[in-house]
Amino acid sequence: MTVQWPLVIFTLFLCITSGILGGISIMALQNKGENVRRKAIVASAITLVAGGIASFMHLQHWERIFNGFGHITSGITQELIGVVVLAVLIIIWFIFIQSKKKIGRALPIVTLICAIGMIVVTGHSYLMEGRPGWNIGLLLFYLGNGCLWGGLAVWLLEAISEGSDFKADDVKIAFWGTLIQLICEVLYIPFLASAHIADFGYYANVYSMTTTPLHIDSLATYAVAGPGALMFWISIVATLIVLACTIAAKRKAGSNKVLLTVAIICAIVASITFRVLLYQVGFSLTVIY
Amino acid sequence: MTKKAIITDLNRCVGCLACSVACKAMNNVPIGCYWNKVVRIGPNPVPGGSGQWPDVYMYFLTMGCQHCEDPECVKVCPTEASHIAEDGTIQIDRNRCIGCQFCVMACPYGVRYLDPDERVAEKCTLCEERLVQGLLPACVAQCSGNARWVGDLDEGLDSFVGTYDPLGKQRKMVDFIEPFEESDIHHLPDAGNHPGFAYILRDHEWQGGDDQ
Ligand code: SF4
Ligand code: SF4
Repeated sequence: MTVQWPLVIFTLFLCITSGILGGISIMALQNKGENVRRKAIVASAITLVAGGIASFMHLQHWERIFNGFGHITSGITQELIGVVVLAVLIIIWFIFIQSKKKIGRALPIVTLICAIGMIVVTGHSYLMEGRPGWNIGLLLFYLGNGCLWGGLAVWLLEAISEGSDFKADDVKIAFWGTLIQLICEVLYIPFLASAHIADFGYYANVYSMTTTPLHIDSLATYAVAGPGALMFWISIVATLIVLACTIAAKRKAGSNKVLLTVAIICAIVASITFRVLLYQVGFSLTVIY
Repeated sequence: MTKKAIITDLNRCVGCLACSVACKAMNNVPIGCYWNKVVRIGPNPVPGGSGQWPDVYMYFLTMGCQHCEDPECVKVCPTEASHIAEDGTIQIDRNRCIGCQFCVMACPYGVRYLDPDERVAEKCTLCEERLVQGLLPACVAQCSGNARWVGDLDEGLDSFVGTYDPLGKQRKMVDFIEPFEESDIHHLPDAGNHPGFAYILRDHEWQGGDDQ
């Protein structure tokens, strides 16, 4: 189906928000990262608002949400609940930071669960039986994307903070986050291979006789070696570059701002191209209409 | 319970597109958009044949909203604009629709679209305003092959009716069309939505899978 850019941006920002919140929660559980918390929370608030604005851009009549928005089986409703929960958590973190209270363990644990939950909810709203390519593999990609952004967020926050107290771990988290993302991207292919578009044999759409009838024998082939290949491979290569940056940064002493910049640019490229791929393989169960 | 639906006899459908045209005219469907399409399936090889003409067959499949029993479009709609109406059909309350297009994505058959002018989701309504007046849906009324029949699935095949004969008597599907077996009744592939509309196809292989 055609790429829904507002939703691409919305889900990207949600993964970044959840990544940042998850990242600082993991660090807090290790009694680390106190000096970057404020920046992280402000950044997560900005990305959450940016994602929210992007999602509204997708609605053709957002003013009508007051006519009865809230059908609970709908993924959009669940996403909205998730966004509100994250917003509340961000406010709580902010209050703790402002009042210089000890963060403790409960808040990071709850935040980590909610950050992961938000990504699951987001991915879940695209799990549609009517679009065989949008299966559990899509959800795994979103989870991986949250890991990627969580790791990078930790690395970035470390880099821009003076007197950091977690130098050794910052890149390590980014490395593991990126590796998980790469695995999830590759895993999508077997999930695509198990998805099937209904086959009607030969057919013709008599409303558009000049259009070649579409036949999708294998969504996996479509993604890896067909029309989706460009997006798939750009995404894989970009993720590999992020991984290489984290490995290089781990080995290199001193400033690694160049590596970090390259990693963030490539992470944006990987995140967007893979989302475009999701739309490219997002065919209806029947493609003959 | 009521579950209004259309049954199409594909052995009778000649692919004239009269249903499609009638639908567009009656419902003012924008150019480039359709509530009801007639797709040519085939020519596909007859199983066990030479693979060449004349061992091939073809039929026309009328496609549109299937007014599903467990509609995906209703599940994903955040405002309940897409809903199951009292007569069992799936309808869209245009004033509630926020144009999020999740229903468009969720429908397994791609039969929904965003109205380019009003920016709300649209699809076949089964001519609900005609049904309440006791009239036939436009596609059934105009079907030149007497292939389309409307009725209530809960009342059974006997309830399906079509056009009127020259004496003004309404035709009943079971009396009018050629005999068929239970195994000749097919549905579009099911993604858990349980499509309500049915198709009758005799002596040919049903394509697309998921016979019910
Ligand atoms: S065919 Fe599609 S639009 Fe119609 S009721 Fe089923 S899921 Fe909804
Ligand atoms: S586009 Fe309208 S009818 Fe469809 S899911 Fe969104 S609000 Fe509901």
